[in-house]
Amino acid sequence: MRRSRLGTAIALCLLIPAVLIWAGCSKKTAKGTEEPTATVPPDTTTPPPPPPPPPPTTTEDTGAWKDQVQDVFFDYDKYEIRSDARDMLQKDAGALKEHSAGSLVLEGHCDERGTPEYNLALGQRRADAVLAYLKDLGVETGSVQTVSYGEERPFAQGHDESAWSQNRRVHFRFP
Amino acid sequence: MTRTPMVFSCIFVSMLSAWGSMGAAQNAPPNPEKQITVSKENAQIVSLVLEDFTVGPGATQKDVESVYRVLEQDLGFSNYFEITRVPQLLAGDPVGISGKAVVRGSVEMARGQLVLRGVLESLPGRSRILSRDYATKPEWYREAAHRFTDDIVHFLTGDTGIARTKIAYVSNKTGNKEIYVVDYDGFGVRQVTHNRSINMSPAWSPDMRQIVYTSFKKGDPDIYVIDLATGTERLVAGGPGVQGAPSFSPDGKSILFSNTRGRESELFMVPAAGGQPRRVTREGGINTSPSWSPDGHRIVFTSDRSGTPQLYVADVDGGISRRLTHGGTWNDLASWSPTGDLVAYSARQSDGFRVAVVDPSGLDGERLITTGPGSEEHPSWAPNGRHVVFSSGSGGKSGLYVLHVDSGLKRELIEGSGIYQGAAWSGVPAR
Repeated sequence: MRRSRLGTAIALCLLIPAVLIWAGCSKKTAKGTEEPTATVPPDTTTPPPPPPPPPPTTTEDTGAWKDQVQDVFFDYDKYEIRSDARDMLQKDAGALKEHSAGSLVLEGHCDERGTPEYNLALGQRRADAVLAYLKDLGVETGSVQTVSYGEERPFAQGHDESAWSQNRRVHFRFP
Repeated sequence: MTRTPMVFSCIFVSMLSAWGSMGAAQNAPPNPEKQITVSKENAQIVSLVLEDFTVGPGATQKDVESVYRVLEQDLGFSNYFEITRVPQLLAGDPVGISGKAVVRGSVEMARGQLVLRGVLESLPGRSRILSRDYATKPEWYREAAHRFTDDIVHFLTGDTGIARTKIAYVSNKTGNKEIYVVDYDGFGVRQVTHNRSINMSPAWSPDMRQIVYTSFKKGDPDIYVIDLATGTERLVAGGPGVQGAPSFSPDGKSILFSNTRGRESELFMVPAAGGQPRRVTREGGINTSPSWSPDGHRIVFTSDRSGTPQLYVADVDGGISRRLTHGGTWNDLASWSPTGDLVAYSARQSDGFRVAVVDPSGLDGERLITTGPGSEEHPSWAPNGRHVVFSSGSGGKSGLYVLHVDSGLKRELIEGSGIYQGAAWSGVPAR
């Protein structure tokens, strides 16, 4: 793959638009394959339906409610929403609908026992599963982002189940 | 893999036949190219006589010893040889020393260059197999010894020498996970990325000029290619969700990776020069960590569609994938041997991962090739198909280790207190 500098420059000029074009295309492709079913996480790039007008608030929103939004936890090597997590997400969804959240990032995390590469995918599935669940509960998710940290950013540092169970989570971050 | 016919070496012929019979005992395919197989039970070790090197014009005793020590270590790391060190021999066969070949050399300094004059002779008779000059900058003296080693290995065994290969890996010694490369013998550590985010999953281009890897430097995991000579990087696959676990095709033209977003986690292929990604798998569940067969037609990858992560084999051009592993609850991070005959992978046991191998045809069972302690994972084959590098951690110590699969002999590549993971062995550099 030896190239002259000129060749590299030309290749880069071709590559950058190509990547941009692909980024656009891949969204379209993904959108085309999504089927609207109740349990399926919808494509996060789908434009949201027009949001309902924000509820009239008489008191100033200090953002303190965000502290009440709870992270949800997962079983080992699973990305299905647990029953206890459903209750949690009901409350979370209520708070999110009641307040104008601004930006929200759902972070998918895993315990350390898998492999870094697999856990990256697993964390993303967890974040996307929560996103889909919130949307099903009527939360306006158009501006919600997801990111997977896999096993890279553990909350608890131990190497036992008490730490691992803390680390298999989707974290609600309000940047 | 080229195997040069060595008509002038009767030793070579006799070794061929010895290994050929062992290869048959191992159920090797009836392909004469594949019959050189050293079995673990009956490994054929070639006895080498290594003469002290001569101090040539312009060189000091220290110059000569430096080169000699590297060569001696390289020959040891190859795991092919039993070495007898001797002073310089007179002409004729050495008396009282048994050996199949003699290695000798001299080192000179001329016009700012170090020249290793290497000679390999067969025994008995001392007929010359190889005589070659290896010239480098004096500070790259290790390179001269590595080249001579690779020639010795090639001429005596027919195998590809690995003394000039490198290993890419992930370390957090700066506080962030960055990509590094190191020579196959643990020398020459070099930090490749410096972006202070999370960097992982390095993989080599076949020509060793580029590394493809996953980085969080723009906030979420995307795939970049970095040119090692210039440091120039380019985005290969980006966008929302995870783009991870990239791998160059054996011809260097394509990059296979895993894309996870929404309910999709599938493998995609993108031209290495940039372009439109094409979907390779339609499995459902999680699909990641692909490794190519040496002919570039098939891939082995991890899928959780059975309920637990297991290895599957599929054609790159589509078609049905076949489950490869069945034992255990987590089999992951496969590496297809460059010689094609085995897939190494991480097999979860009760106390962590072990390195395991399985025949990609599925005919031979899964077997563990490491024994702990600690978690031993992410094997990557050397281009000779005989060694694997893997990461291991136990009791606050972690590092990368090289295992000679046939003999079970293990050596430390690099060790420390932090994280060492994601090791990826390069191909062989062009001459």
